[in-house]
Amino acid sequence: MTAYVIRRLLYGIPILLGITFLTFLLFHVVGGDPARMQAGKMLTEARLAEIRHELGTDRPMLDQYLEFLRQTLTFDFGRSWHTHRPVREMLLDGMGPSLALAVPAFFLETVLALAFALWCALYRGTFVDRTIVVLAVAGISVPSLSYIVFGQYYAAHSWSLFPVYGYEPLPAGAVFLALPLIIWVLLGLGSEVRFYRAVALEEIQQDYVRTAAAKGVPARGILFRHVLKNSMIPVLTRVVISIPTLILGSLLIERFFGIPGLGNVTVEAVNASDFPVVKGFVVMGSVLYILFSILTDVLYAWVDPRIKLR
Amino acid sequence: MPHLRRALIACAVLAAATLAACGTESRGSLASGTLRTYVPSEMKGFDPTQAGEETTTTLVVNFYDQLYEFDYLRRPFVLTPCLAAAMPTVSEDGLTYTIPLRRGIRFADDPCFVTSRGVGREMTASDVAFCFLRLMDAHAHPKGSWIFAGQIEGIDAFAKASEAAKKDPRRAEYRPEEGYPPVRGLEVVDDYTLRVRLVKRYPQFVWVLAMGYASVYPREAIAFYGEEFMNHPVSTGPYRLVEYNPTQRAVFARNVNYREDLYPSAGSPGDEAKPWRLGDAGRRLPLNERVVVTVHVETQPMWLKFLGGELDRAGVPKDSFDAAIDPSTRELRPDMLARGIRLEKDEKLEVIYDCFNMQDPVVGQGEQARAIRRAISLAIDLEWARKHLYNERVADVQGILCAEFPEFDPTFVNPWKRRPGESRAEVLGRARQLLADAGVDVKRLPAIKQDVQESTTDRQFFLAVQRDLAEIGIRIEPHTVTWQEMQERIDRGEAQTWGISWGADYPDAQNFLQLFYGPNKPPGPNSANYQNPAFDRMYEEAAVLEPGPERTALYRKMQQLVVDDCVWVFKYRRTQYTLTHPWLSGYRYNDLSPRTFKYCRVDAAALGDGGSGARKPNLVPVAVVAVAALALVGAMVSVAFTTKRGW
Repeated sequence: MTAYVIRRLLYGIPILLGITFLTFLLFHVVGGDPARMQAGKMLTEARLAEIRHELGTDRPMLDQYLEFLRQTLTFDFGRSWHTHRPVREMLLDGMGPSLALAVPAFFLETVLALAFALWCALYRGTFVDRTIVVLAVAGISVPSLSYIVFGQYYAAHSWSLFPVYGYEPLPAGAVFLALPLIIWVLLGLGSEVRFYRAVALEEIQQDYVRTAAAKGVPARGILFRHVLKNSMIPVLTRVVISIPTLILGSLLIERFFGIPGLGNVTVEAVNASDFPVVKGFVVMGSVLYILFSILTDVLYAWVDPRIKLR
Repeated sequence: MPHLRRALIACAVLAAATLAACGTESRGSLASGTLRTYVPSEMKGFDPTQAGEETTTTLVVNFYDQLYEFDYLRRPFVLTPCLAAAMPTVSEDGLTYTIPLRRGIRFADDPCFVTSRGVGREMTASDVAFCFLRLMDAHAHPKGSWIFAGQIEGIDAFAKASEAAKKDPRRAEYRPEEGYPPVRGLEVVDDYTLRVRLVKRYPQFVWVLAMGYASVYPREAIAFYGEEFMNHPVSTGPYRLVEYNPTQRAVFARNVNYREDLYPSAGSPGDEAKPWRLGDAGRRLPLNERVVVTVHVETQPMWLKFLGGELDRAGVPKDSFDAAIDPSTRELRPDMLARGIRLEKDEKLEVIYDCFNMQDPVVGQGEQARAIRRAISLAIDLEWARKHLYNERVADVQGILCAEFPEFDPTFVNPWKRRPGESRAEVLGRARQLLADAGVDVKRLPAIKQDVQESTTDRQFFLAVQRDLAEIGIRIEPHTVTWQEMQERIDRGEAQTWGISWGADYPDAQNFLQLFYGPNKPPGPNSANYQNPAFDRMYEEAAVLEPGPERTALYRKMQQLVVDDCVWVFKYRRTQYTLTHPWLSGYRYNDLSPRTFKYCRVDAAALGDGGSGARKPNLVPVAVVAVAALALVGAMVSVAFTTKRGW
């Protein structure tokens, strides 16, 4: 297994190189001139040239790309062009609030989705199954912004159940995270239930399930000892690969509820052509994806003894 | 099963945390005497050299002092001394400004004052000179160097030399041996006198000394914090920064070293009738102990927080306009009035316009192009857009000279706009006649491209223009761009026409007229690339004139030229609607310098339940939803129990 992990880590290097190259290309070809964003209202060509020189965007492309690679290796992206704060500090500061919201929300969403999916599978084709599927489809059909806008207006403002906006570190900040957490769960629950239901249904129709039932294994045992365990491969794939997105934050929820997470930081950086922050964010996201995809493979082998990592 | 049990316990814990959140409210934690306000975008620090956009300007002008400030209440705008002891003495040739400084002004205590163990020292003229020089230092990426560039003797050479000098974010002195030439035009006469020598007359000079760019801070802060200075500001102003998260909030506390500064005793006509305007006249500033500034990028949470009494003042978001304002009276709705909420309306010193690329072969060059521009200006139905797209929160502008400027001509009428009493059919007839007279065959005219930014609002504006121009046979198509792409297309001369606005930096029409001055062509502020030697001559002549009849005549002639050439479609200026809660006094809108924090007083007695404690949760709808959910789950469970499972 160690050899497999090392090999996968080595495969990650060309992937990371490709991502850095694409990011660099996109920023320099599609993205605008960052000097413009820095320059303010009254511009002259000379002033723009000065700023490009200060930012280093007038240097040869190869130099700039090599600098990007050096920064990727050291994970030191310097300071934001916009806020002048160290990028590493911005990313680390944003990660805490993003995780404080995302981890419990994701956990709750996954547990609920699995529970509903198993219930659907157990009573497939009945009123229970149909009701859950209809609710799930309805949940997916409502635009995500509606959940946020209406949730904030009614639950926080009209009914005064939650604070409208704000953030404090946990545990004191739990009050501010409650509504965003509920909305997060509602936003994702529909598609999760549909996915896990499909997985559970495929598993529940297998011969071994029928055999277990014929042997008199109670429904509880069939569901949790057999069906759930054998559904773990697609479940793990979906869960583990979603983890990096949790760290990277949820833009809309963070923005509407004033959570100073990474989603906000990144969108501001993209809008402001703040390349150091964009670079830091992309590299961090890529590294996390690579690491978690390796973790997924390792977990496959752990969950299913038939899978060998070579 | 143990896994399931653990999962259920975890769910229960989360549910408990969620329920614990219900009914609690954050605003109760704020003591009275705390002003609660907001900014509309992420905060980008407190470095005065960066005070170029709304949020940074708001933070900078409230936190720092400048030599002069706008009189808080008087309109039209006038300046009063702030760190200066008096208005400057100007030499007869108008080139030398001698500025006396107040004595005994101290910086707030801060660890950057290492030698005095954190005790703030007295501010002197050398601090002012240092800050002005730093504004010209290329390594500081200044956004506001234009206020001095080309105006002060030796300042351009200094700025040029700074590019080559070694970058040092902790540079607290500009020494000749390090490559910085002395600036002859900035002379520290003594600790309390600064003398500025100009290259040429600059009548707007005193105005720019009141801008956020010209703020004063101690050199020790730069030496101590380096690049982190923007997150650790130190000033002579009314507050200290005690908490700062750029994406969330900034909290200020009163600076105990703050000078004696009093609330003004006189305002504009009509202010006497407003007790919230002059009720604190003569009181020492600041009128609050703390200020909490929250970042609200989205308008809905800002609006809901205002309605819930968690913000003391708010603008009226476009989407909430009808909820606050009665469309028939343009005043507050009765429910808002019943809560004691006040509405104030202030016209912004700005012009919203559609700009033409004057070098473009279709809409820019030649007589036919001029006829096309004029016809477009006539055909656009500004009245419809005012009603349907702006909630009638805009006022008409005829030209570049706003009513606040002494050069404003109330009799001036822009001939390329719909006249009072003129019907839509008549104005369209005029537009068609113009095109016909100039020999423009609209059927052969290629579709004009308008740069439209990627937002629903911009799209709505474009569609209205497209519909209007179709009525005179002119086809116009959108070219969707980001703001940055649009600016770059303008620089390259690729954009044909685009909608934009210009907000004044100071109350002098020169700030608008420069937008047509030939040498300011893109990437400069003359984005239309209007080249008219007659205009340029008059602009140069007027630029060195003090306000007076001679300058007024020149300004008006320049306005006539740009209107005749129809460089812009002059559209509107916005009216700012500001709502304040009854417990807030002293707020006065100022779009040039939003320095309001120190004047605002929050009346703890009037605050009532607006900020004193938890709001009671309304459990009726929750109960209804819960009962419905339980009924559904109950039905499902009962069906489940009666259903025979088949494996």
